Amino acid sequence: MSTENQLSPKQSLDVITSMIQQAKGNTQKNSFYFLLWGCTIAVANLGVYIMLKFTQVENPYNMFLITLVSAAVSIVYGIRQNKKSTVSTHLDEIYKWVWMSFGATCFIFWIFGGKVGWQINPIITTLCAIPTFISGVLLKFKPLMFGGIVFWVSGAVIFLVDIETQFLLTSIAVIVCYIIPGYMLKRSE
Amino acid sequence: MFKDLDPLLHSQLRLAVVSLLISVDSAEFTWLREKTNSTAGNLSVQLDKLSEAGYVSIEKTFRGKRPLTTCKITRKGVKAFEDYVNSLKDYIK
Repeated sequence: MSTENQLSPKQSLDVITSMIQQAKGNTQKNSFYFLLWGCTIAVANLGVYIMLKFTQVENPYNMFLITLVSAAVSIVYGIRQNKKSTVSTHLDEIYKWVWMSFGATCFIFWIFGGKVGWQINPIITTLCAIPTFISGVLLKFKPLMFGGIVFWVSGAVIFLVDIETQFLLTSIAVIVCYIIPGYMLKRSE
Repeated sequence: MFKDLDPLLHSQLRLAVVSLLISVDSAEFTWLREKTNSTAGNLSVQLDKLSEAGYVSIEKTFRGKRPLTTCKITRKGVKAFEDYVNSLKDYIK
C-alpha cells in the first residue's frame, strides 16, 4: 500500500470500507472456556448428586475443589492466548469483562452461600443466563443465546426442587447450555 | 480541491491504519502490516506521524525477548477520523 498518492473521495471511501471489512470477524470465539467450565461444573454437580444420593461420603461438596484446577487452567490458557493474539476487538473486551464480572459475582455467592440458605445452584444458574446470552449476541451465535434462555428457565425450575435434585438439574442445565453450544462453537471456529 | 480534508489522514496508508484502529480496541504492528499489506519501514514511519499528531498511541513492550508494538487510536484520532468522513461526505454530495 502506497503512502502519499492523492486520493479521490471515492478512493478514500474504498480504503475506509475495505479496512473496516478487514477488521471484522476478528472476535475470538473461545469455545475452550465453555467446554472446560461446562465439563467442570457438570462433573462437580453430578459428583455431588451421586455422593449425596448413593454414598455416605462425609463432605461431598469437596467435589467443587475441581473448580480451582479449572480456574488455574483458564488463567494459563488465557495468558497463552493473549500472547498469540495480535489484535483485540471492542467485542473481545466486552466479552472478557462480562465473564470476569460474572466470575466475581459467583465468588461472592460461594463465599456467602450460607446467607442465602445455600440456594447457590439456582442463583448461579439464573445468573449464568446473563453472560451466556450476551456472549451469544456478541458472537451472533444462536445456540449460546438459546443456552442463555434455557439457563433462565432452569434457574426458575431449580429453585422449586430439593437441594439434592438441584445438583442433578444444574448438571443437566450446564450440559445443555454450555457443553453442547460450546462444542458447536468449536466446530464453527 | 481537498483543502478541508485532514492532510494527515488523506494518505492511503495512514487512512488505512486509522480505519483499522477505529474498528478494534488495540492492534499489534504485525497485524496492521498484514492487513494493510505494507512494508515494516513504511508502516513505522506513518505510525510515527500519526503518533506525533496525537491520533494514535503506541506502546512498545517486550513479549519474551521480542519487541512488541501495540497501537491504539486516541480520542483525538477518533475525532479527526469522524471529521474526515464528514468532509468526505460533503465532497460526495
